[in-house]
Amino acid sequence: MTLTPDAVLALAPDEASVHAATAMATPRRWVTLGADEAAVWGEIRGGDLYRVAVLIGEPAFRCTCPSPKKPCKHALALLLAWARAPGAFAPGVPPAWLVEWAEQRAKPARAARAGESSVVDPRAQQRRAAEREARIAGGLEDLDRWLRDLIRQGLAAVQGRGYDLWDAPAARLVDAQAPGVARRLRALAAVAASGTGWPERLLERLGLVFLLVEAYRRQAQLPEDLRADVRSLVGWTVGQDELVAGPGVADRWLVLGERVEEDERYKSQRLWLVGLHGKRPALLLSFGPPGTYFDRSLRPGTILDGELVFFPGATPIRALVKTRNHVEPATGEPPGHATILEAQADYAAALARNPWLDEHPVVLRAVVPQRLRDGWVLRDATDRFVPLARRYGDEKRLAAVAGGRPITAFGEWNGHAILPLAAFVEGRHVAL
Amino acid sequence: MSPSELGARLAALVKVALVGTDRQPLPAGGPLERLHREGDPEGSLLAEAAALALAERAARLPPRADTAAPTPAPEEKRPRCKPGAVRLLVGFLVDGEHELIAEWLALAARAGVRADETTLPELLDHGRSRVELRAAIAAVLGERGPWLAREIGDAGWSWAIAAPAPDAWATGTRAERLALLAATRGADPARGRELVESTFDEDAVEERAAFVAALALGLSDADEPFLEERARVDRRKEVRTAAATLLARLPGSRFAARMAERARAHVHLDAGEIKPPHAFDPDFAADGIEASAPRGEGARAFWLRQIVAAAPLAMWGAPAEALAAARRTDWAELLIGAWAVASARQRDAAWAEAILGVTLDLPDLLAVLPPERGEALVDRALRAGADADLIAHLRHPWSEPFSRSVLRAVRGPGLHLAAPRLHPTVVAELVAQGEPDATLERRASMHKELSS
Repeated sequence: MTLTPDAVLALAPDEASVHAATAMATPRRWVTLGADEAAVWGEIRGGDLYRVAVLIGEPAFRCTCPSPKKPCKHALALLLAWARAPGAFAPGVPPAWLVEWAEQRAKPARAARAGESSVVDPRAQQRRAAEREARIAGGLEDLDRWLRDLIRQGLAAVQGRGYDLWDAPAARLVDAQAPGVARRLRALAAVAASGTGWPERLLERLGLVFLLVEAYRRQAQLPEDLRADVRSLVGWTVGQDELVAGPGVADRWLVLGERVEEDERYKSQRLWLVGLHGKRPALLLSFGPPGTYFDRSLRPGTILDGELVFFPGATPIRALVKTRNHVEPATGEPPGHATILEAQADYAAALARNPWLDEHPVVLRAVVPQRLRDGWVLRDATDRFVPLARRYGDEKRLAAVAGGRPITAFGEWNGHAILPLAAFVEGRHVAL
Repeated sequence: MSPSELGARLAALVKVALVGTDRQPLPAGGPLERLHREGDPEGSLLAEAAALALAERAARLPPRADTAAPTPAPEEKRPRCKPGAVRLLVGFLVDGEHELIAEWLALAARAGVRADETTLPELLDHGRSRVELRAAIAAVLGERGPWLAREIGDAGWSWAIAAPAPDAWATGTRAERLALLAATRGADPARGRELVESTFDEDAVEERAAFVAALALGLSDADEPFLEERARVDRRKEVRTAAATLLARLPGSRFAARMAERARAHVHLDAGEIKPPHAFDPDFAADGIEASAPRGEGARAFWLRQIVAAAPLAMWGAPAEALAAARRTDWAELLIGAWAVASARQRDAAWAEAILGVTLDLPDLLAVLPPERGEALVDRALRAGADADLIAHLRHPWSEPFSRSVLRAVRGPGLHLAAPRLHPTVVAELVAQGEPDATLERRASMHKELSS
């Protein structure tokens, strides 16, 4: 595969890395440089003599420097130097340390799959699961009482109570190993303080939490897909190794957009994809502690040729990459809805399958960003419009990109507003 | 159930939920009554509210706009710059690298490319406070930039609106009027001045002062009557000061003649006699001379300094002789300082160079010299062992030979002073040699990405 310098720099975790890597991407800065069909490697003097290697196809990065960034500036510089001047790399046999690393990389997945039967005691596992079920049941019982108390005493009392009101039951739910419900409860503090119309918004969210408690209690009666949703919403996780071993969905997956969020508890990365043939949306979701550097090997505006596996659910959308044949720059436009009405119908159908749906990916073709009296909207050819999410702050850039003409916009829809993440303008992908 | 019934029922539930089921019973009925459970008003309310809210969200009909769709931007005439150039510009804008931004703009204009649409908001913001860069920014905005400035309606972007409507002078905001004045003055200075004159009596003091200052563009003796007879005698000091600053740049003005007369009365260079004014003449104030001296300076010396700085330089004869004569008196420092101010105001390169030949304490004067004269002067000074900081005052892009001279003088840690202005050829060589300087790296990439 050929990589352009631009494509390499797009992998950089931040702007500082771009500058550092650009400065180091000259062959004369390197002590050794080598390459074969699959990998490039080299040594560079920093605080120490660092060994750096990149498996080009994925790409996967390896460097012995202490930087927490992934990829670090050395790995980035190595790949950049190769993209600029492959002639400067001596063709040859990979050094022993690289072979060792490449083997180790391939091992964990195999080991995890092979290890399940031998290392884990299935009875102990069952016992732990049963203990957790009991704790969750107790925690939800508790929450049920708390919710009813709230409604009995009236929501008016909520105002001015601040975050403590929600944090206390949320903390109890974390102890009860139901972190998903705890997260929903914590988010209510902001809803209660969200200004005009808060009682209706709060009641709707409280109702959905109540619905989740009820659904979990009666999960045995639910269809299998919905049961998977409910369990995952409460906080049960699906073993990723187990999942990856299952059947994958092959397609050319266009990376539509990315949203990275960070608060004092954790950082998350959402990568939204859509299959160009199957038109199926997918979400690659990663979590980490604040300050985490997420994998940047898939960037918005590229196409992943490979297989995804989907987490079970009534509207399966969260996925993992199972196989990765290659990644290439995207051309053309993604499949999408011709009108906002059509997108709304699609959203309603998804909501009917999973009432707890939070963010729904939507591609709107031929919409024009415009400022109306009450704020910015996307307007379609039938003059219907959808408002931009209030927390979106880049309306001027969006307007600049569109220039008053219809564009294809991708964003997250929550039934009220859209949070734009990308635009396709004359075949060009623009991150927003 | 119709959407309005649905909404009404939800509103009724919200009302009960607000005061609490302890105080108000859950109203019976409603289309989703089958969700209710006997003896469980709280659970019934929550379940019904969730279902209603979901139904409302699913059934919502996107509203229709009742206004016209936006006017599309005109087709672009120039190609967009390369992605690598976009990334560099974004980095410069984020880091506030003003010199690199200016160079980027110049290179892009020379290459005949326009900025990427995604960078337009930041570029327009960059021109908000940096008036001197606006023309360079406007050159790379393409058709989309002026369109966006009009569409967004931000007063700080109005300079980018291509052709301000001629009636903006009567009806526009201050920013729009300034934009119109700058545009008019650039094309037809007399017409620009007439605009200012046409509303001068009605305009507020801030506007009068700003408009007078804006006449610096295209200033000539033709502006003298207006500046002398109206602006200089304005009832507000801000306006008078703005007028005096411009009049001091016109050696042929009546103002300059009055200053020359005053200077002659107090400075007799040939005789080496300097006698500052004894008292603050009432006429001084009318010509913008300040009465009270800053702390540490005598009032009389302060008046004299202002007079000499505003008098036409030509009255002193050849600069070299005048400087030599001044240095024989006790007033050398005052006179040379005042002449330096006059050189800058009157854009007199011969005087500036003569002063720099006597002292390097006023390096700002380098900006008055033509680039090649400034380079020659600094080159000589560096060879004579002058401090390398001097190069920071040569703000134009340097020639290749001068760049090489500078390198000999500042190699090593001083390189960062030179890096923003070194000649591109020299930059490329340094980078090829692996010189680890971020500015050099970025400039080398910039020249490559924006080569025409």
